[in-house]
Amino acid sequence: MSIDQRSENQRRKHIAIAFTARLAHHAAIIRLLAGYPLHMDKYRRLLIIAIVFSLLVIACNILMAPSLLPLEVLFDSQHPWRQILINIRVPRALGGFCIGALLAASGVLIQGLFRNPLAEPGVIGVSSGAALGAALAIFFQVSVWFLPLAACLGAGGAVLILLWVGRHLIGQQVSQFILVGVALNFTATASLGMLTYLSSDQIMRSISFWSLGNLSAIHFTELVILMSGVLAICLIVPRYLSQLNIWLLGEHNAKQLGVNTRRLNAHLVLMISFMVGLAVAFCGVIGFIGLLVPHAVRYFVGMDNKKVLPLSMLMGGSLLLLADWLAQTLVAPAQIPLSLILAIAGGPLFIVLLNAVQKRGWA
Amino acid sequence: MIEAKQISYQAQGKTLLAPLDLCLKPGEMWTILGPNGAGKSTLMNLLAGINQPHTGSIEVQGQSMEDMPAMDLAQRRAYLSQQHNDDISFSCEEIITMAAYPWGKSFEKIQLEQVLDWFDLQHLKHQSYAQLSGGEKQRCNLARSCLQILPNGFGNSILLLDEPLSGLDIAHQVKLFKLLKTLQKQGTCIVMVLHDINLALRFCSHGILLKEGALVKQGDINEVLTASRLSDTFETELIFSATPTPHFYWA
Repeated sequence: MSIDQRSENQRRKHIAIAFTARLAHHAAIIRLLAGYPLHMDKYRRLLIIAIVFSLLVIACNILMAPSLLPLEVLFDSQHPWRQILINIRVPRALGGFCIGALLAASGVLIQGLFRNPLAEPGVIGVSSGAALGAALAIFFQVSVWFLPLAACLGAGGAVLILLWVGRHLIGQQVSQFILVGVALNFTATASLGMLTYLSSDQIMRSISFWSLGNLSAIHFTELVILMSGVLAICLIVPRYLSQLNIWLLGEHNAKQLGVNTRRLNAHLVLMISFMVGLAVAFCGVIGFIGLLVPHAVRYFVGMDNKKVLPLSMLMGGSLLLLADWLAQTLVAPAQIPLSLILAIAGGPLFIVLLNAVQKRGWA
Repeated sequence: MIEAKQISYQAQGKTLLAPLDLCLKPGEMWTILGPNGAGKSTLMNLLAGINQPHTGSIEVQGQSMEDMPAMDLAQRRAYLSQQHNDDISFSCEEIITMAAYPWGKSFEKIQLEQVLDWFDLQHLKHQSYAQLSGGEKQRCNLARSCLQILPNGFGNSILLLDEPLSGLDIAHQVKLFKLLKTLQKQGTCIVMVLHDINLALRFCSHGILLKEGALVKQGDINEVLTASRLSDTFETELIFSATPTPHFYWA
């Protein structure tokens, strides 16, 4: 046996050993990963499920709504449908997901701020306030870039009116408060109608096209704005969640625990206006996500906002995309406005919740 | 420890509390007594720093309360108010651990276990707060108040309790007062609004008697709670009859 051959044999032996070791290593990691979820608490398990579910929904929405894209599109940059994928489907799916997440998160914060399980941007007039702001911007034909800003201002105005009325006129009674919100909603919606009535044909068309609520207006620029909004929310809002939990115990308890309630309220108003304004500016008023999703999430993880908010954002985005998928496929090639689909499901659910809240309180 | 000078409070043009001076020292157990609407809770809210007095000033441990950061204040005094949100579905444990907020970090497990034991809440800790009975809710809130000042050491802390007995059964009333007694011995300054004159007389060292927003008398409990003064304040004929043994009598 030559020296060459011997060293060759040795080399093979080493490779075999290294290969077995690596295999064992991988197996250990896989076992750890597979076993790990079983040891996690319920919240982490739900979070992982929600993330996987959201990714699936986004992928399905991109590839299937309204018609099936061939899978080759993903790998072939010259494919004739590539442009549709990049310029229409991806922004629409991701943007829709962001809007759903923003709406669900705003629902969580509004319910916290008003300590009222039935508060929802669409029900208590915050969304219509934002819509009115945006419609005014369209009416006076200011630049498209100011549309989100105008919507945020409108939403902020509505929240401030509600806070003021709640504090000075009716105290903290749950049902009374909702009635004020409903009244505000009527006024804002009617003003929006009035504005449409007064507008010229062309402005009227752009207002009503926008306020019907659909995702087809979302392109790359809108997607960038929406994603940076969601990113900002993810960075800022978590700092306020433990304060928000304490705020739910009542004003005295929050103050005595050292929460600056005035500042907390002001910051919550800002964040809510930002979220609702952003969501409404790009796809009109979409109701019930802010109500349905946080309640469903609370059913599983309880009331801790640190758990409710992330799960709500994920599920809110998924729910909006599912509704959008229905909106695009039910009467294809036409599209049903998103708000109609959600309201048809959301209306009855609101009644069920109203009943449950009267009986058992939150969640 | 708490020194109030000429504090008064008004709301919507109505005087809820006429100016009064107070000096509450460590290791004293005070009770605030008076008929409904006498301004007991108003006084508590001022002492806790929830509302600012219209006139006068309050000093806590030599520091003006107005200038004190809210978190510092929350580390030194805990206030059990009467205002609670009843229909929230946090678990009992989540409600109690909210006391960690002013400390900026979570508690050690042993501290949490301790207060859970004090108030017999071990078996309820995962239950939803909304589904607890009135007395259990009260115990949960009391536990949170105690936990809030636990890291500070009871020696330099202030405990303000607005009707701590409401909803508690007799066993837990006795247990609570035994606990408060040990805290008092360690130097905690305790202020309570009570409706039970007998309990006040037995356990508290000092008293404040209020009527229609004005101070009737303050000082040593035995001097404040005389039969004639109580009869005048509550406009009800009350007689004092001493019981010779140190046991509870309930009639």
